[in-house]
Amino acid sequence: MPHSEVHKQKFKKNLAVLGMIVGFGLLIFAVTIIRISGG
Amino acid sequence: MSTTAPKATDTIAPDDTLGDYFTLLKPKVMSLVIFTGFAGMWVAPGLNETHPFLAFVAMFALAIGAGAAGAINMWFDRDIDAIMNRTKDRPLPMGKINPDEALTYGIVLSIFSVMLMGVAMNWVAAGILAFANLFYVVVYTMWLKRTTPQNIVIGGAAGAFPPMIGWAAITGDITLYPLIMFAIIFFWTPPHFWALSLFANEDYKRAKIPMMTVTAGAHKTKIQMIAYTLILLPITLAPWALGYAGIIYGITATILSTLFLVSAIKVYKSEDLKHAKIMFGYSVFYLFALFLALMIG
Repeated sequence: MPHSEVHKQKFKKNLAVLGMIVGFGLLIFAVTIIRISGG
Repeated sequence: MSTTAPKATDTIAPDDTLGDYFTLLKPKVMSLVIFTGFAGMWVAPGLNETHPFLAFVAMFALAIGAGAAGAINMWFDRDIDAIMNRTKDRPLPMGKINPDEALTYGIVLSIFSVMLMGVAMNWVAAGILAFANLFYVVVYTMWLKRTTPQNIVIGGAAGAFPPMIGWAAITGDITLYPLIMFAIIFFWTPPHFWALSLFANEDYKRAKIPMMTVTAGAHKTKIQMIAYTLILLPITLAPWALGYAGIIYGITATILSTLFLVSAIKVYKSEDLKHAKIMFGYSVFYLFALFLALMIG
């Protein structure tokens, strides 16, 4: 099924949002590890 | 062979880019927030015992929180931003970002920044960050900005919280020193913004924003600018007088604040808007230099 321009732009944006969510998750994980280890 | 036409609800701004989403965060304001917040953190007792990554995360959370408040401000003010020359090129008036997406972006980032600050540092700093954001969005943007000439006097408090947040992130409490830093920015804000509104007066008039220059006129505004820079002088000397900062800061603050007062007097004496532009530019340098002196001194 051909992808429209709308699809491509939304896909890019959704990918960026996913990246942000993953990034924030990793940040919280790193912070938690440091706090647990007494940092 | 057929292609599916986009539905009417699939409207997205065709030109929105990551850069536009970054612009929504008001990066220039963010840089001032980060710097003053870092200054509060730097002078707080206990910074040496804080893990550097956590300190970085605290600054990141502050930056994101400030940016989120800026994004929500741009969402709410997109109607007047479209009218003003100074702001009509922002992403929302230009139609580059969908307003609903901008609002969601701001709210999500705001909540995340508060949670991140709480998890990384403590809930005192997170609470002040949340309060500062709410104050900027609800009290200043949605209420005061369009209703009173005291809008940036009261609403400017939002920009004065970052050093308190930086301090509280390290110590978990608030004492006199961060309150003095709050007071410095609080009393700096009116002359800073009124200098801007002197040369952007037509813009504010067109957008019907009741800035002091629009409601009371340039002359009365200039008198108030002098008053605030006069009040600022002893406040900026307080860290040195109370023993929080050394003589280097004392001398630097005296020189910087005196020059700020002199610039306000020059603005008062002259009809030439050039002096207002110079004062506005100096006011930005002034705050950076003052807080840098606090960190060094």
